Amino acid sequence: MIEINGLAKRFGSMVILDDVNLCVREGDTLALLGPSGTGKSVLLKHIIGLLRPDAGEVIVDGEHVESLSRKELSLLRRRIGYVFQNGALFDSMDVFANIRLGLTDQEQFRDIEYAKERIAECLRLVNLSPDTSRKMPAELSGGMRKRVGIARAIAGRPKYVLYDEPTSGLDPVNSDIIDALIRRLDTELNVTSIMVTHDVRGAFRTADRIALLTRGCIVAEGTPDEFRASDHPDVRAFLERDFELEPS
Amino acid sequence: MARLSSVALQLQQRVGGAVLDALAAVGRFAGLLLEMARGLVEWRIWLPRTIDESYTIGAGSLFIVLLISSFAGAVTALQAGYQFTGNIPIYVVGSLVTESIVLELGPVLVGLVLAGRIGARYAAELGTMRVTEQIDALESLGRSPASHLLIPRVLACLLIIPVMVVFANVVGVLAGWVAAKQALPISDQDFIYGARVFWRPFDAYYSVIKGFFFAGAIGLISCYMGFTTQQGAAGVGRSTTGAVVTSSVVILLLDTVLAKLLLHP
Repeated sequence: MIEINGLAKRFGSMVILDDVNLCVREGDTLALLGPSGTGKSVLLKHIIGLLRPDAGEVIVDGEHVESLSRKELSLLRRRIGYVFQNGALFDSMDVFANIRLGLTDQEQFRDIEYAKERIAECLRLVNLSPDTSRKMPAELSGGMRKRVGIARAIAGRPKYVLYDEPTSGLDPVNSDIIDALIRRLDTELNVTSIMVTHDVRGAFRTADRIALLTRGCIVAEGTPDEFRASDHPDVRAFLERDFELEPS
Repeated sequence: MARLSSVALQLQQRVGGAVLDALAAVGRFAGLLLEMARGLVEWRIWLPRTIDESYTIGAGSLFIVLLISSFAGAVTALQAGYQFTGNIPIYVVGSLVTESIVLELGPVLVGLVLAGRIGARYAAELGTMRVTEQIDALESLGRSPASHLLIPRVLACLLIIPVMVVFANVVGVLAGWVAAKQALPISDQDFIYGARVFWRPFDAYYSVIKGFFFAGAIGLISCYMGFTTQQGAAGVGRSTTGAVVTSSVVILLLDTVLAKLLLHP
């Protein structure tokens, strides 16, 4: 379970997160909606310990992320797969080497036969042909890069997967493919997922629960039906695509 | 009076801000060194990458190093020959070329050229990795950026740049010898006699020691600049320029400090 209590973060004088409270139960897929620039990715980076909060706490499986030692944080990260917005593939390595780095267990990483099998399996899970493993990231399309990013994130069999804007920059067809892929992975791998997005349609298709982050805090959260029925003005404005970003 | 105190206050704020920024940079640099020291235990990760990186920068830098050292040796010989006319014995050209190249021109020119070539490359590579979240991705996989990215680059500098200094010294002296013979009435025996008459074995050690320090400066500064890049493509540009300029200044500073410490203790 992932719990976030009273999380606050500012960069310089700009307040990004201010008293964020959120709970993600095991097996759930939570879509975190919100306009661009409201701190959704910043929130995800706190969960994996890439950023330290100014105040509040992030608890994953009972462990306070902000107070973990370097080694403990490294062990925690092995249980969490992180899919970056633009894939963040290592551009000096081919797809095989990129996904192999996702094998966070060192024994498995060094066992080349296991690595080959697992990488082939991950490529199959994300609907990519085995030939893709020999390609360099620069040779891949945007959708393929995202899918390789997902393959790398799931290679180590994580308990949690965090998706940062998995469909941004993709055409509707590729967005649907990625949404379907996330749904399938959640079912097949039984992972707990948080998906940061501003794609309302994708969120309703994919998530068990939906939360809206705006003005630095979670203003609404519920099942897709509850969220759709919410009369909170920010939710209404967001769903009706009439959201005005607060001046920063 | 009020205007004067307002200006004084602004000045204090700017100086204070600059001091705090400098202290923060020192803290970040110390943190990076600590991370690298911790990463040294992961030798299975950094050793193969260090070998690859050493080959890459060694093979890539050899031509430019040999080229600049050849020109440096030739020009030193020709200018020495131009200045040393009259009563100064001609064999002194051999002394001057050898000592100038080995003590100063070899290591410093190699340092400055490789600060541009390797330093810019490392800062740009790491800066791009930072702004495209590749370094975050590495951390998110529970892996240490120090052992994957920083240690191999710094060790490759420490291994290869002193070797480049040795190549530069040998080729620079040989080029000076050839140039001197072409332009001046100096025999091989004169040149060799001149080269040996003021030669001390410590000169060679001193040259390599300088190369080692310059290598540390290039590796650490460019990795630090690249690793702490912020704000997109403009940030990568700033890091790259900063890495080359800072490395060059530090090389010249180290050059002076090492000359004082090792030649005039």
